Amino acid sequence: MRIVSFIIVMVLLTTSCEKTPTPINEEELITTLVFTLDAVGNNQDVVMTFKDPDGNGGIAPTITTIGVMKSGETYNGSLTLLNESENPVINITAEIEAEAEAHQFFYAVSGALAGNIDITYEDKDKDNLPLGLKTKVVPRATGSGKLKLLLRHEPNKKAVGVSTGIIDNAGGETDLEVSFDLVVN
Amino acid sequence: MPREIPPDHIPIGCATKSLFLDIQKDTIIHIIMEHHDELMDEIVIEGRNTQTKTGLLKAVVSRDMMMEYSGKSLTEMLAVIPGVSMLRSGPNLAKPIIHGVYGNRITILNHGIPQEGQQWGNDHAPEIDPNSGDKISVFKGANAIKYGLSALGGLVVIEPNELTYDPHWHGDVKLLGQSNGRVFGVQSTVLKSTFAGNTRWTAAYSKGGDRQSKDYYLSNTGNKEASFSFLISNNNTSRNQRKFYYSFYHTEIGILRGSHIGNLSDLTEAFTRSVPFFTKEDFSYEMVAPRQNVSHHLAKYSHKHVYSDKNSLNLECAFQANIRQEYDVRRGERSTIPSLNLTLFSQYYDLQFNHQPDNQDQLHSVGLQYRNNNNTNNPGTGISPLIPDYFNHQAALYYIHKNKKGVFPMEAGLRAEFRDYHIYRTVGKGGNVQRKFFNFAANFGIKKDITKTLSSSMDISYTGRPPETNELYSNGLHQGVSGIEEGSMELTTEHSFKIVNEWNGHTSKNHHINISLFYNRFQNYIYLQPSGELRLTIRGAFPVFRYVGADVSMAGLSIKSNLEVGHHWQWSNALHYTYAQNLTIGKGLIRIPPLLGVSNLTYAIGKSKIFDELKMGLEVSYTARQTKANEKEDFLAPPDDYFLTNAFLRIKWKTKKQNDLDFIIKGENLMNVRYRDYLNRLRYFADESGRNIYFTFNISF
Repeated sequence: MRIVSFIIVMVLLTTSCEKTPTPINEEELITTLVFTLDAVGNNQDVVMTFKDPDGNGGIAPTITTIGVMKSGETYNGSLTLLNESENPVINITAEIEAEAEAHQFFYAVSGALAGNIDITYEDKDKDNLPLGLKTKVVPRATGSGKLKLLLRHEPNKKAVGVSTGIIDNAGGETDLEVSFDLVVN
Repeated sequence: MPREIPPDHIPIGCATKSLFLDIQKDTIIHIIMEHHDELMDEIVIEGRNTQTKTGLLKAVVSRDMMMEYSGKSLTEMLAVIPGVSMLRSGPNLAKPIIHGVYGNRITILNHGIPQEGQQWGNDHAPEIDPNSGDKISVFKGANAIKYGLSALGGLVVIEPNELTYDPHWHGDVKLLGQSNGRVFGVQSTVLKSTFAGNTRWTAAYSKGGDRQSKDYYLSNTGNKEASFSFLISNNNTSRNQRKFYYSFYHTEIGILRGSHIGNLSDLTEAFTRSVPFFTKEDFSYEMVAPRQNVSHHLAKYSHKHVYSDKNSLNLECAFQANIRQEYDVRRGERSTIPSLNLTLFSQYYDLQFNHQPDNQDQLHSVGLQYRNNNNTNNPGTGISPLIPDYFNHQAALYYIHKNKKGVFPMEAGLRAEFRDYHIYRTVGKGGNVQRKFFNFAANFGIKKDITKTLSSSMDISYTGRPPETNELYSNGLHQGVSGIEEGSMELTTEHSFKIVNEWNGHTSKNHHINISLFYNRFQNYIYLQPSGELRLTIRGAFPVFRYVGADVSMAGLSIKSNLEVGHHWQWSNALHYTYAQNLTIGKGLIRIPPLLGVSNLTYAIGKSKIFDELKMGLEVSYTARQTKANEKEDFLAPPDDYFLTNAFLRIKWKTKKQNDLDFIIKGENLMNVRYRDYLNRLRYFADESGRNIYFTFNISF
């Protein structure tokens, strides 16, 4: 009977506990992407923003493009990635810069503007291969379309075409994939 | 004078059984050896003892057969039983499918205790080393009333033989190897009686590297496994029979690197690749993310008190701890931090009273059971958990009746179960919730001898299974389904009505046949269904999967015929088919095993100058394409049909000291066929493993 009383004590001890789950710090999450196009000339700057403060699921993200590009103008493109679900806000851009060899951004234009916007990489990793946080963007024609921005983790950067921004042979896995509306006058 | 009696007759295909006999007076000993191991659907009725696994429909993998499948996982061993298939996520992750169902609908008994792991995951394999037991049985007719409502699809039992008094060291040591993955391992079982009781010890270790398909290495599919178990029991003829058992199991499993994808477009791109991305040129034992680390502890104590010939009381209690860590490919050196880190503590208490009336042909058992599961997401993952923390309680009352004689042997059972779920979430994720469920299960089985050589058995059962925590509350991005997975709080009890009918016997002196039929009708069958919604995230769009209830009808047929030709040859043929229809939407159900046909030719000879026994066999199997699945519920159409060829050779020697030496060489996929298996998630990304040669060397002493 000693064993029975031992069991009763064990059951009582373990069943009366209340659990308080620890809130999760989703440090790795990217909630916000800002793609800023600074016009080198006198034209208007363009800012594209993707915001999903509550992460995957929940409330749908908001996607905005402010400004209109001008054909023939040269823009300096720069990307900012943030995790705004944490306080203080975490700068993911720095994290990606630190692991530049394992990352590459790809830019693709579709719709009427397809093939009419030149996008070239303006930054390099330690292996002298592109990263894509900094770009040069030059629209060559007018119209409207979509700009897709994609971040690949652990791609094969040395595969054919990848260093010029062609994604086909890049492989790896997608960490980020967003599309913005684009208008060029 | 005690002495060991060596068996003087070793029948072909049978295991050597050594007996320790303490002979004090004239004694007559009848030794009945178990024949026809290859006929696994031997129907056993256990009336005399007080076993309450009501099992008219039972299939067994014996220790001898387990030896031939050495180096395989529990699930792979089970898959030799008709009606059992495997749901896999790569070469080292497999869970059993019995009669078309798996996961939350199958219970695995580890030395008499229901295994408590994270059964809900399709990529979670049972955390048990099959070699910790001496035989594995499957009870197919939802008749596992004693072990709860989650055994409605079947009960898998892994158990050791009863320990008997033997003062000498006995046991075996196995050395194992596999060509594919360069796997090597060692396993050992040792038995000895001491002053404290009869003991049984097992230990095993194995390590493997990248498996290889016909054309390329499956990079990062290595694994490591270690296990230990200890059993002690006192003299089982005493009035107080006590047993203590402890087992530890640890595994590290690599998951194909190329199967880790970022979003849906990556998955679609993976379908078009002839070789998975991240495939390396060279073999490696190294494992990187994605990978799993799982540990499982089980400690159990059982005490049976025999009051009289008629009455006995049985107490069982067990503690389990299951620690599961899953690693994903992550940014910022986080690949070494688990993305999923769960600890599950479980307790099990069962008090059962058995009554056998005078004639010993009947048995009445009444039992009271309490179980709890305490699940915790360990902090520090940095990822929102897929399933919440919970503390669930289960209390049940059951009654089992068996009658071995009468017009026909019968068994019946009834169970009432109360569950109380306490779900703990942060306020942002919905806060704390409590849910209560009350359910029943009942079964009735009979066996009838149709002729002297042919018998039929039938089991009818009803089970009401309440939704599990994951079905109610899972929420998040799940790599295993390549989508966002959402539980549904509105889910109610799933009702299963099942009939299993088996025919077993000799149609002639040389021909044995086994036919197994089942029909299973579900009301509110809970499963993960694609909702059709694509949800936009910063990683791209993901399909949303939701747990829904649907009316489902399943039916299946297994036929196995065995023909003995002369004294040495045996030809067996088997056919297995499962049909499953979602009646709510009028479409086939996802992840149902396709038609399988197996033909097997065996040649065996007994003692000769060179060896004591030799057995060899050739097997050809055909797996059809699954044509019934609802393709809208899957990312990719089922793969094509395929043929596989396997062969084995087993030689047994006896040493002068009567030790057994066994050498087994076994080849699988001998033709090195390139194929993909419908029930393997890896099929989205890569081919199945190619040719594999198994080596086993066993010494019994």
